[in-house]
Amino acid sequence: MTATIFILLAALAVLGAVLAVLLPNAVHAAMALIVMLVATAGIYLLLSAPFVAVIQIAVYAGAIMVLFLFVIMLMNVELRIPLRRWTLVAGTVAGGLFLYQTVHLLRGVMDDQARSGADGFGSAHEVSSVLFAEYVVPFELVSVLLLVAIVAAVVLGKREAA
Amino acid sequence: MTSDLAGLLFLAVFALLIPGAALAIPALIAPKGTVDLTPYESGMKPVGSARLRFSVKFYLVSLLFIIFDVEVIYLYPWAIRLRDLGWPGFFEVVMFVVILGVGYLFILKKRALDWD
Amino acid sequence: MQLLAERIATWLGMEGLPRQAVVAGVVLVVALVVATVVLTIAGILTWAERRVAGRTQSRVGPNRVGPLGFLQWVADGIKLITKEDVIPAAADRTLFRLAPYPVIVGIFAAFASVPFGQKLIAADLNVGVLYLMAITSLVVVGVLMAGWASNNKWALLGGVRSAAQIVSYEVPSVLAALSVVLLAGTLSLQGIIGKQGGWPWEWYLFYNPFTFVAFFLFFTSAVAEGNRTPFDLPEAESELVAGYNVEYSGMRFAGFFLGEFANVYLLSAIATALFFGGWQIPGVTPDMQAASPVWQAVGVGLFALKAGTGAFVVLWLRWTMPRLRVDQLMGLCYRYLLPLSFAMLLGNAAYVWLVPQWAAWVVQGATTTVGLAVAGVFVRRVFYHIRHVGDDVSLDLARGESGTFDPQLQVRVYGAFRRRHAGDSAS
Repeated sequence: MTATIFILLAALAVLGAVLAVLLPNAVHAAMALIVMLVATAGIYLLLSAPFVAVIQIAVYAGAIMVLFLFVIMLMNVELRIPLRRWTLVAGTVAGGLFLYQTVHLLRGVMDDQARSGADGFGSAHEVSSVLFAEYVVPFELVSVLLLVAIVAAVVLGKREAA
Repeated sequence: MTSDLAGLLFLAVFALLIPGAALAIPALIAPKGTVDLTPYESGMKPVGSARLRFSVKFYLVSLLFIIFDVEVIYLYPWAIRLRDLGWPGFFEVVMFVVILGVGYLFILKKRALDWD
Repeated sequence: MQLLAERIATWLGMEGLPRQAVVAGVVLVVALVVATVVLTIAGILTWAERRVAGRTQSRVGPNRVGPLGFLQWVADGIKLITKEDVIPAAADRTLFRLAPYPVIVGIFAAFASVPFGQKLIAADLNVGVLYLMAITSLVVVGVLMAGWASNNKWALLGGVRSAAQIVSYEVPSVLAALSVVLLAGTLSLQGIIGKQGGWPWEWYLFYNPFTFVAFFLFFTSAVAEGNRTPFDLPEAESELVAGYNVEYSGMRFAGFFLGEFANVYLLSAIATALFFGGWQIPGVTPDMQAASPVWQAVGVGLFALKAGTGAFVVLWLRWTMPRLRVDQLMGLCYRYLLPLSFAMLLGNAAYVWLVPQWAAWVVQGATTTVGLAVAGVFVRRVFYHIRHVGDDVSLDLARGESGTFDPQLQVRVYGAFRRRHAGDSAS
């Protein structure tokens, strides 16, 4: 049963990703990306990590995709971007290399580690006990990173009327 | 867990199918071709394209609020274990919020979210 | 994570049938029930809105279909089904067709984890609060899709405004909900209700001054997230006609419309669960309630009553408050709601650590007293003004049968009343 669900979700995710690349219309591509993100959230749920799954939908599908769509609409990009041959070739090569690398990396861990965690593995409780004990410094650094992001956004987006 | 998940998945599928069925009914019984199909602008002839370029402020608003959104998500794991994490956890979060508070003050100072 | 359907499937047993098929069947039934409940609630709210509007503006409102016009929403629904599904020539057909789905699915899936009663919940998720916030954010996608696909200036502007507004107000509303999560120590809505009690002083609303303020922050930003007046700039009739759904007709329009009204109930239901003790009955422990079907039913009724009152307030707001300007809208969110909700969160956390138990009881008592006193004064003022408007609050009037209904007279009477009391600070 788990395998069936995984295959369905994975197929949906791959379909979304491929469409996001291939669709000529930028808004359509963004919608395909949303499908991919939601399917990925389903896979997180399958790995018994409901907290991560929910965050995936809230942050990516709910907020970051809105930003993407805003940018697409804001710049009013040429709605039909033709798929040139060299982009196709370059994309295939880059994607192939990435796939090879991923498979190569995963082969080592596939057998002994890559299974879904025990009950409560990906729950908010577990996340917090790790986040606030082992990863306190990265946690604080995240706030610095976010601060930098705020400053950058304001500087770029808000030009002073001189 | 798995069967729970299967239930949720079924629920998701039905959540798509039920409104789909509701939306399909008019296709069978509703009339077609009764109205003018030009974009509605209160009866005036549409002028120019509807693909407007709108203000950069929308972009800035969504960007800044995503940052706050991400910040809030970091606070969730803390909130549900407030009592276990104790004072150290509290001060970690206070520091986190204070650092972002600097960013917030910067936004206030630059009036970045003012709609002028 | 516990699914009602899964429990029912186990209880049914059904030997001989493949287990997944049983689960699928039960889930289908549960999903249909949830869909019916959502549709009914949204439909009744559209009727309620028009009645409230009529009452507020001294007119009658719908009163022809059924008693007090109650079946108006059914008539409207049938009408919408038989209307043509117009797709403008300039529109992006695929996206235009798909746009209502994220809105409906988002709201519908959210209702699956609303705790209508102690046992009446389709899926009690252990990430409940966060799940609700996440799944309702799918609405933004639908709204943007609709706005863009319509290929209409007003639809696009409405969609973009709406998306910006929903994304912004999500932050204070999530933060305010976090104040409660902090105290309860769980994200499950049933868990949060379980930590409260039936009596008002056991609600999180009156737990301490911080939660009291947090409730108003939550309510305000939730109303704004639902694009309801006074935050309805995206739909602003007077400038954008109807915003993102201006080109929609028939059932697709109904999808957005029902989504909006279901969302009104949803936000009240979440507020009820977080701040008002949910289905808890005064003087009845959860264990007693679990044992008795009668108490269960009373609990469900109480939840519906509380959530219904909340929904009524949202409707009432629409006909009382003028619309905000765009600059005021953003200013309200990031100048006031955002810092305040952070302050309430940290205040709550510090409160848990600093205030000893006996003092906490005193604070709780004091907050309850002050809160109820404020509510009492408010209600008294409302009725004081209704009394002096010149008509009485009788539902006969609603049938249009009472002979005393005269708006002109009413305006004169109330005008004289206001002039007489012009100096009063209370008016």
